[in-house]
Amino acid sequence: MGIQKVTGMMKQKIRHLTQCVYAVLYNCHITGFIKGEIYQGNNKGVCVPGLNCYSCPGAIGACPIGSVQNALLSSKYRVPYYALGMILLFGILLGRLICGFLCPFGLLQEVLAWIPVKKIKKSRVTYYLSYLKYVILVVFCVLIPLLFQTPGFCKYICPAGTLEGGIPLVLLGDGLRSLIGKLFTMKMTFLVLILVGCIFLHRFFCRFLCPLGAFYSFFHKVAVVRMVVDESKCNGCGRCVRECPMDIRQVGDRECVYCMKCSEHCAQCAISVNVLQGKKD
Amino acid sequence: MDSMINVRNMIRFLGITIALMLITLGIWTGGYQDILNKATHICLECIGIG
Repeated sequence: MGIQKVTGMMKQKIRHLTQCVYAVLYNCHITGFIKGEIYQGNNKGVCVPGLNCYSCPGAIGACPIGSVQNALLSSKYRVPYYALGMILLFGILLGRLICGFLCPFGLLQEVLAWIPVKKIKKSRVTYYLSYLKYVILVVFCVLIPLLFQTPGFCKYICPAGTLEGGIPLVLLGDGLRSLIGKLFTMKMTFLVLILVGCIFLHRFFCRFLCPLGAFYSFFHKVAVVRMVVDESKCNGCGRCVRECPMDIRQVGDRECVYCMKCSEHCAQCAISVNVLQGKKD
Repeated sequence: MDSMINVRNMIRFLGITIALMLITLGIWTGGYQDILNKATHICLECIGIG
């Protein structure tokens, strides 16, 4: 086994460990899972960078995309400075590194991808489908909250809310169980479909549906932390793009979640994560 | 090349400054309190009830 392969495996292990640590950190209010109550501390207004429902009994922070929708709901009375400032800060500092390292739902998708079944490979179809998340961002996270005064993404799509908040709270609380209706059934169906999708397609939710990833992707050119290719080392073999499980067209573009599979396969060792640097070209 | 890095760093600096200003303004105008209120109560829409 070459040194490059060993280094690649180490990088993946560090990444998975980081994902686990952050998933626990976001949801470390353990007593919430026992009592069926959510955390109500004064620091819960601080957004976490990844997709993590604030109605999860263990959550100690606010969901960024839920906060934006909530802020837009009350935007008639108050300009949503705080929520926008938070996601802008996360985006410009880390970009989609958040998807690859700091998102609990991203971790879950990667765990599901370990189930050994025949995977659907990326293609032109999946590339075009990756634009769907921008439609979801605009329609469900901006237009529906503004026009219909309801958090569209949280209410109709968000699988994290159903999984982290809905299921435990309904299981632990008799009061909520009696309120289950068509919406819960619809959201559960969505959750199951998304989880099954993740088994067959790498990061199914992340690639096609996640509005938070769509927002962070706007910062791929200016984020403080970026994946860069050293052009002086690159021989243009294209293996990085072929081996990447996401729908990238080049390393570090809008679809790149910093999973570092490309650097694992690059024989020239030309790909690295860079902080506060431009493209090495 | 150098000028490209400079422009990128300038955008970063500007972006971070704007973000911090928005957060400060948000805390000052009650945006933080709004999110805190939302986050400390069970969001029925999020969990698929309401």
